Amino acid sequence: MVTAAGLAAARAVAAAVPDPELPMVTVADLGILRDVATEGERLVVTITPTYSGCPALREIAHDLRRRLAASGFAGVDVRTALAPAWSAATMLSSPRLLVRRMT
Amino acid sequence: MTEDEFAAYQSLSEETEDHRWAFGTGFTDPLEGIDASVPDGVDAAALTGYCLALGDDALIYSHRLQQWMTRMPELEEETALANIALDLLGQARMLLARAGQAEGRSRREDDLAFFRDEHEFRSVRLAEHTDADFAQLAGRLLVFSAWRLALFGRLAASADPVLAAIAAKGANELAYHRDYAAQWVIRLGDGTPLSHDKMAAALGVIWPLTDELFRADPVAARLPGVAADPAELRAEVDAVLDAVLDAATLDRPQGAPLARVAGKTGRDGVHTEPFGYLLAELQSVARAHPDATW
Repeated sequence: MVTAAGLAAARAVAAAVPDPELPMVTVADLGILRDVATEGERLVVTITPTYSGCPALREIAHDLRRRLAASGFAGVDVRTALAPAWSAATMLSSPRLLVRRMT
Repeated sequence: MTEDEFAAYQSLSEETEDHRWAFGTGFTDPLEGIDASVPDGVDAAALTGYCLALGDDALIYSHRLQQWMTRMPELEEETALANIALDLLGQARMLLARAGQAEGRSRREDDLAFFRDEHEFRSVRLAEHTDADFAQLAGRLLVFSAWRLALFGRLAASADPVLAAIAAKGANELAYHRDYAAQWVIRLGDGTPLSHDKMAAALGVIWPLTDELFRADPVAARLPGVAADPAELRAEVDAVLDAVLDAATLDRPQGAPLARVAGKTGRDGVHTEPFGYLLAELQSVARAHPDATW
């Protein structure tokens, strides 16, 4: 059973995962991380590719599983969502986000 | 580098459940975690053929662009074209994966990309054309991306939710491809007398391949609400091309469409001679070492 506090902790861990190509920003900053939720005993993390051929998505999924496992979350499913499509508008306007335009 | 930054790279070298990251095996399904069912009332065999054709267009076109790598006139253009090729490869992966799902015979994207023969590829002949120079590259990309963007704009409302999502995502990418190509066609057409003539000559070579894009498609006809009628795209594409050609001070080429072979074209699996060489380069390693790992 994932508690509400556990879910919040999992969200924090997932949100802190760095982008493999731009490690100064996180997948949450970039709008790649869509959702962290529970389904029964399992944690379901949903991510979306920035562009169709994004080879980094596999590494992001792996990094999510690794970090969540290290934080005590055993059953983690990482799912891909294509719709709605990612756009630069979904990036957070974080002060750390120095990238002017990434599309 | 901080520990966090290093971790992202460290994970690249770790053993994972899909560490066999080589051609023909082990790639994570690009549609992983997405509902794979075919909606009720949709002809699954037709959906397979339709996704295969659109996937083949992107796969073959992407490969032709990849052959330009290290040969572009400037680093900036090299990067732009590599990104366009990668976008199309990504679209190909998702569409071939969707074709495999709809087919229901457990064929994956790699099976479809690497282990089909020439006559089984359904790509339009425009996709396999070898660009003889940069003007042909720009002109061909303009036509292809304007057509594909018009098509994906319609498919974004497809009754197949997976195809709709792939198209909606791809449309953003194709808008950039079209913009990139249009800028070069205009720059070259409205440039020096030499660049104008080269651009005009390039369009003359490309144009016979465009008629095929709007031919009636019996596979699409079996997919009402799911697929788009190619003939419906012509007005929108023509308007875009006319606007670009006008700005580029270029005339729309006149000339007969490339002949069909016994009434058949690329969508029927009939290709031009260079297709065989392209396919050999694309498939030879995967076929020589099936299920190879590293």
